[in-house]
Amino acid sequence: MKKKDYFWLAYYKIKRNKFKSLVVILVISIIFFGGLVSNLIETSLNKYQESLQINVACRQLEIDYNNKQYTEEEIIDKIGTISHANNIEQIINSSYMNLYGNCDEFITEENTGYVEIEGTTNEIIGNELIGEKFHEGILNEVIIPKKIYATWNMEYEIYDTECINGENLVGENITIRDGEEKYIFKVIGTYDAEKIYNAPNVLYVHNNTIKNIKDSKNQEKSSSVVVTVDEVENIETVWTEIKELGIVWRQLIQTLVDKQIEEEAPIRKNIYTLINRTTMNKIEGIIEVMKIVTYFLSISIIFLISIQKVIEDKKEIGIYRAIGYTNNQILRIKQLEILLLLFLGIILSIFLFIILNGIAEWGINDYINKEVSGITQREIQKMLYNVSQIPKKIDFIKCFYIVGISIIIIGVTTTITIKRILRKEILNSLKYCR
Amino acid sequence: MVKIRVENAWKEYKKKSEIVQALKNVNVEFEAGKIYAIIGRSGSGKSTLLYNIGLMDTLTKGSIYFNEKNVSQLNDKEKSRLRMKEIGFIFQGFNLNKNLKVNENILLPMFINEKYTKEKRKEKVRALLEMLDIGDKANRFPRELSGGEEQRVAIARALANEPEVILADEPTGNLDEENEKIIFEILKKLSLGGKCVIVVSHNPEIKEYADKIFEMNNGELSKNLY
Ligand SMILES: Nc1ncnc2c1ncn2[C@@H]1O[C@H](COP(=O)(O)OP(=O)(O)O)[C@@H](O)[C@H]1O
Ligand SMILES: [Mg+2]
Repeated sequence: MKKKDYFWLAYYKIKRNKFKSLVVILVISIIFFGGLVSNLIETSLNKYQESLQINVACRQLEIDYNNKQYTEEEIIDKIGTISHANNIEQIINSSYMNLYGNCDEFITEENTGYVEIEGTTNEIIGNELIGEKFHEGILNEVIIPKKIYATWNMEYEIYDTECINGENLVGENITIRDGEEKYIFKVIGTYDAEKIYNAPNVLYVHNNTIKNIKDSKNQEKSSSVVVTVDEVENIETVWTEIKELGIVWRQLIQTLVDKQIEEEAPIRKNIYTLINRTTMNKIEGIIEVMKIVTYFLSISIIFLISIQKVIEDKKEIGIYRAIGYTNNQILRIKQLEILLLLFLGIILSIFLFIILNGIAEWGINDYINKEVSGITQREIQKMLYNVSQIPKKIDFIKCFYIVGISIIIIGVTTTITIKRILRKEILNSLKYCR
Repeated sequence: MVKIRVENAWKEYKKKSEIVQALKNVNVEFEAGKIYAIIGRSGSGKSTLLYNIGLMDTLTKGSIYFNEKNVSQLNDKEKSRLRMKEIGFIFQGFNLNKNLKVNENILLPMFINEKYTKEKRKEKVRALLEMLDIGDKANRFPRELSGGEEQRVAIARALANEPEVILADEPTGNLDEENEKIIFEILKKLSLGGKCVIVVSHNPEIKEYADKIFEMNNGELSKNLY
């Protein structure tokens, strides 16, 4: 039997049972539509939450203090006296230590700035690269970027602004100056900073190394706390008050997000605080329940449809058998027919979804035009659930799972039901429907 | 020329706690070019015998031979193939595919027959429609036909793959006298054309057309009555 003929039979079955097929297609499409919508709401909520987090981050200040001078409790007590500041958290400080701005100027291809020598976490440099070597010998060892654009002063002298091939430095000693201090490192390897963690090629020094140096020099050590300010407008006030307390060590207070977001923050805040955390939790709960119900319903309905369809076609199957179709041929005709229905249902659901999306977009635009002014419409759309981009914002991988699982369920249930019919005598299926 | 032999055929059905002996040691032979009638009371086992010859049911005990080849032992696929190539079945309830038009119903068995090209199929459909005098109904659906016409479509479908054996289970059970005659005459013509035709019927009319008549009684087949 030719493939075309299978298709022909499945196609005519659907075409000539327009009403029944339409009902099945509609049910399938509604199921998928529900799946798409709950998936969309979920994705949008995630987006919204992200925005909320940015909003909170906009209002957070990180304060470095000297931990020899003050204990954690003392600092928290002190900050507690400041108005408008709350949610004080201690930052675990061991993996993050900065030696800012103490090196000479360097030039990259695009920018002018300062070399930073940063302590980094163990993960970034990776134990496998450097192993235990850090603690051996007198020299501190280091791995450096493959390419360095620098003119800083080292014992291995580099004066020009060319790109230095870090690999040429392997085995050499380099000196890095931190103010008056000079640290000598032996280069034991290179890494590609851009490639590994998409960072500029800055010289990274292992945290332990710096800790060892600092301990041996009996240097002061800083810790930091993070403070959340209640309103964006109050950041300046809190800033000044903290400075007045005299607890700040070395570094000034800094916000956790970049300037750009900081500037936008007052505008955003108004929108984001339309929904507060508690409401958000409630919505999330409802969505969670909705999702479970949708999935459960989808699976059971799809399950029932496929069984019902096959049972309904029992006589048809009997006829196919009586005139000599083999079990495999019948199985394929029926599976193709149900897959065709499924396919049409999915197409329809996507179509419905795009229409609904259009209506929603139009409605929200209208609302925005009337109710909100001051910032561009596009900006708000971006903030409010990314309306203009809803179809793209669906988690397609998840949708793919839903579709995949449904197809598998339909495939398995129809196959099992058909096989059960085929296992019985032909007469059985013919007799039933006389 | 086909020859069918049923040997020591037993068939029992389990109905709840009761066991029904539908066939009790049936031994019979059918030859090509003849029309056979199986008559008898309702529930006597006529259909059971016919469906077993048509390889649509399996015997509890005994064998069926097509040209001395034991076909009761074939697997599903081989039986399907035999049904497609060698057997044309005609039912009391017509059993047409209600989603397909008349010509498509006749095409149906030809899809699985590799001997037909697309053109040959069309030709064959046309020839069958003409032979059974339903040419003007080619594009109708079964529900738009009368019972007699439906049964003629069913016969056309049964003949599509040019089988040697035609099995008919009460082919006129749902028809009026006029159509009854038409159908019996068609079956008679087929037997004269060399096919082996077996008709189950409790219609006394069949006696006029049959070459041999068997009577089924409580699962036992009587000797040739005429
Ligand atoms: N699928 C079945 N299950 C149980 N009993 C059956 C089945 N088919 C037939 N029978 C029984 O077998 C006997 C013979 O049936 P059947 O061959 O249909 O008789 P007929 O065609 O002569 O009227 C009857 O008693 C009937 O009830
Ligand atoms: Mg019967």
